Amino acid sequence: MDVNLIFQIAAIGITVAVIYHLLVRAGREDQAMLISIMGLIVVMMMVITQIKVLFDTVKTLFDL
Amino acid sequence: MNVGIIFALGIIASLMAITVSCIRPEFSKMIGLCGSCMLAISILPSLSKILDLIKSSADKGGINESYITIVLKCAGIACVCAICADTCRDMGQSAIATKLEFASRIAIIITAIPAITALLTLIENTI
Repeated sequence: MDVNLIFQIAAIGITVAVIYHLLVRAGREDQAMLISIMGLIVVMMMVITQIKVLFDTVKTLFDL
Repeated sequence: MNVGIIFALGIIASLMAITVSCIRPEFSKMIGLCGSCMLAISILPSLSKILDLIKSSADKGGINESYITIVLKCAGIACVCAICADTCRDMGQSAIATKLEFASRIAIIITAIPAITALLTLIENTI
């Protein structure tokens, strides 16, 4: 159980938001959108590992 | 399992979700999902001791082991369905959450079919 994962996701979210605003101000809106989507995909990869551990735990616990 | 850590983790995850929600709402939903997964992962292994107690009590009580397995499988399906449906509802997709609950109900009934069949056979043989 790792509290750091939640802080990492929050840090990625804040970083993506800052970069998004910078790119929008610089006029590169398509790159801003790509960065925000990529940040979301990176966070999704981190969350999916936790979901996998959860489902493995439930499977072994309840004999499903 | 340290209960204090679990409670603190819940509060921390909620606070981080609120902090990020003003800037990027989708990341706050991700934090909520990750926090709930981690809490479930830390609570569930302690459940195995309770399940062992139930199984040993059922053995002493003379209940057939397969029926207890059916009951525990149904409990597991309900547990997973609750986690997933609440996650979908948190993300605003309550239609998907309702379908998940419906699917879990059907899965539970299908899992319990051997017990229902045994009961109906018993009634039929009695009558």
